[in-house]
Amino acid sequence: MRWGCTLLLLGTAGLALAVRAHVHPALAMAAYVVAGAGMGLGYPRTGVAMLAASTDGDRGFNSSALSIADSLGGALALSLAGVVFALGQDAGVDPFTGVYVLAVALAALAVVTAARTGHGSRTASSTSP
Amino acid sequence: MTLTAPATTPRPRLLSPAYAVTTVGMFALCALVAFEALAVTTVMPTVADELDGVGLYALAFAAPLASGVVGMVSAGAWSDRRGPAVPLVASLVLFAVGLVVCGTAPSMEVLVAGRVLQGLGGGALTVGLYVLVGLVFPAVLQPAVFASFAAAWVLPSLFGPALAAWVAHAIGWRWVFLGAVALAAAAGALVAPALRRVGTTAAGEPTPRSRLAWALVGAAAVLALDAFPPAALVVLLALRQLLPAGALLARPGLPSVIGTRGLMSASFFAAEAYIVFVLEENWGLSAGIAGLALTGVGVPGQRPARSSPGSASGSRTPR
Repeated sequence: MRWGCTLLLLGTAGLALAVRAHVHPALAMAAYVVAGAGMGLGYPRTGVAMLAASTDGDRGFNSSALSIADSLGGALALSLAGVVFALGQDAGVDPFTGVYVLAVALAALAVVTAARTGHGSRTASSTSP
Repeated sequence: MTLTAPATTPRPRLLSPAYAVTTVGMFALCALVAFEALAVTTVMPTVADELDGVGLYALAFAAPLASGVVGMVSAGAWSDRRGPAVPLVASLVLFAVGLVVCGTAPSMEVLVAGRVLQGLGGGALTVGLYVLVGLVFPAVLQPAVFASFAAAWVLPSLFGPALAAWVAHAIGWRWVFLGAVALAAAAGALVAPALRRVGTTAAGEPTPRSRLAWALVGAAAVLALDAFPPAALVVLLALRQLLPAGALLARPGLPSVIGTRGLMSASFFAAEAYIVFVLEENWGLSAGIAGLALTGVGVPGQRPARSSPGSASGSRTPR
C-alpha cells in the first residue's frame, strides 16, 4: 500500500511539474502511467488489509466502508477539483496546475495514512475470537 | 517465494480446481460492472439524443453513483446479519433489472431510473464480492484475487468503449444494456456454488436504521455536489457515520486503511478527470491522441459524472 501511494505521489507530482513547466507531453503521459501503476499496486492491498482487520461480524460493514470511501472520495475530489479549476481561472493563474497540485496534496496525505495502517493492519483489530 | 512450504500440502492457487470457477465468476462480475460503467459513456450521447433527454444527461451518470452508496451500505448490513449469499443474489438481480429497464427505456426518465437500479445493484455487488473473498479465499490468495478485480477493469477500459460503439452501431444501443443481462446470468451461475458453500450465517449485530438514513443523506448530497459544491460538507458528515470510527482522522489500523483507499481514489480521479483536457488545452493534442494516455490505465472504481464545469466532460465521450 505504501509503495502504491508513493508511486501515486510521484506520478501526480510529475504531472503537476509537467503542466507547470510545459515540458514534452510524453512526459506528462508517462507520469500519468506511473500514477496508474501506483493505483494498480496499492488498490488490491487496501482490500487485503481491510479483510485482515475484519471479523465475521463486521466484514460486510468494512467492505461497504472501503467501497464508499472509494466512490465518495473520487466524487468529492472531482467536485473540489472543479472549484479549484474555477478559482484558478478567476485568479488568472493556470487552472490545471491548481488541479494537479490538489492531486499531489491528496496523494501525499495517502502516503501518510498508508504509513498508519500498521503492516497489513493485522495489529489493528485483533478482537476477533 | 518461500521455500519452507511443506511438500504435502501444495500451495493453494487461484486457478486450482477448488477456486477456479469462483475466481472466473467473480472476475466476470467485476468486468461486467466495469464494462457497463465505461460503455455507458460511449453510448450515452446517442441515447440522450434519441430519447430527447440531454437535460438529464449528467443525472444519468450521477444517479448510479448516489444510489451505489445506498446499495453498499445495505449490502454490508445485510451481509453481516445473514452472510453474503442472499445479498449477492439480490444485488445481481437488481443490477440485471436495471439493465433491462435501461435497455427498454421509452424515455430518458425511465433510463435514469434504470441507472439508479444499476447503481444500487452494482454497489451492493461490489460489497458482496469483497465479503465473499474474505470467506472463500485463504489469506495467501486474497492479494491475487483483488489484483484480478483490478485487472477486470483494465480489459473493459481497453475494449469496452470500442465494443459498446460497435454493438450500438450494429444492432442498436439498447443491446449494450440487454446483451449484458445474459453475461450477468452466466457469471452469477459460476459464483453460485461458492455462495451455497458459505450459506447464510454471520455473527453481526443488527445495523441501526440511522445508518441507512445516513446513506440516503450521503446519496442526496452527492447528487447536489455538481450544482452546489458546499454539499461536500454534508457528504463528509455522512461519511463519518458510514465509515469505521476515526477513518476521517486516519486513526491507526483499519480506519487508516479505509482513509488510504479514499485518498488514493480522490487523488487519482482528480488527475484522471483533467488529463485529456490538459493535454488538449496546454499541448494542443487531439482528443484521440490524448485519449491514448487513458487507454490501458484502467483503474477500478465507479466513474463519477464528468459534468462539472471545466471537467473533461465530452472529451472522454467519443462523439
